[in-house]
Amino acid sequence: MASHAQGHRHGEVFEPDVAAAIAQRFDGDAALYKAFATDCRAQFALDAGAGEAACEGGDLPALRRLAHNLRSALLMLGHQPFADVAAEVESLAAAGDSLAACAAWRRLHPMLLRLAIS
Amino acid sequence: MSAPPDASATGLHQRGALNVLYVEDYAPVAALVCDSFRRRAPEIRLEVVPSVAQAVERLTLFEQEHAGSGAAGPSLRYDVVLSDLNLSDGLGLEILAHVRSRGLYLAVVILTASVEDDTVQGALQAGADGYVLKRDDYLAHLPGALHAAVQGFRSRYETHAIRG
Repeated sequence: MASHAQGHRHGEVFEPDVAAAIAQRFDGDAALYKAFATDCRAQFALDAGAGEAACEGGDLPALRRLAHNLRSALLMLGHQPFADVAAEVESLAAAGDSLAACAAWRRLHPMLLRLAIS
Repeated sequence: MSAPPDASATGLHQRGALNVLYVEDYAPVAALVCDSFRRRAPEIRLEVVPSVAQAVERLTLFEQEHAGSGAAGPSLRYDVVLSDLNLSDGLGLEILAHVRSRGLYLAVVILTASVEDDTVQGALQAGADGYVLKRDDYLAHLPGALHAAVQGFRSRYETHAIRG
């Protein structure tokens, strides 16, 4: 994964602010970040399916918990824009707005799949 | 509150060593925290469980062992419970309530991503010995927070015992 001074976009693909994430959240420990990123890639593939199931089954509490966990993980990794979408899903699910929460989830879902195979 | 177990049961035979029951249901975060402790604070050992139910199960076993029924002595050695606030089957506050209602000689620290005052105040009013916000550099602060929580808990316990 490339390191950048600031998070930015290459075309449609957001590049995380890895250097800042390592410095701010991992106390400069790049190996710790790398291990976490590897674990997250495997988890995101599972989460993508779990979110779909939660929306299809109308399970807003499950969608809220999932989005809550994703928000923290994405933020740790330096994916601020993705974390913002996860926060939106969490907030809408907490408010009980199923349609809006799942609409926001549909935006987050491809992001997770992309990260899972990155 | 029950009497504190002897030093060999709590891991205090090793200076600064802490045994932690860590409750976290998101696997990458649990692995990250364990990895971070291995690198930064190897004197702190974590046992991870992913749910309120499994935490209560372990704490019940801990309580039974420390009641002195086992001839071989306790195999579960915890000094502190570190629990995420939001778990798949409930809240970390339920684990805190269990520890306090059973009078277990354990400090409790709550991990939360919420900065809302009522969440933090609620945890402290319910008897938490500390809380850590999942913010930027929380991994670096966790070992110190756990040591401080255990020290504070034991100090309050001793003060209470002397007055009581």
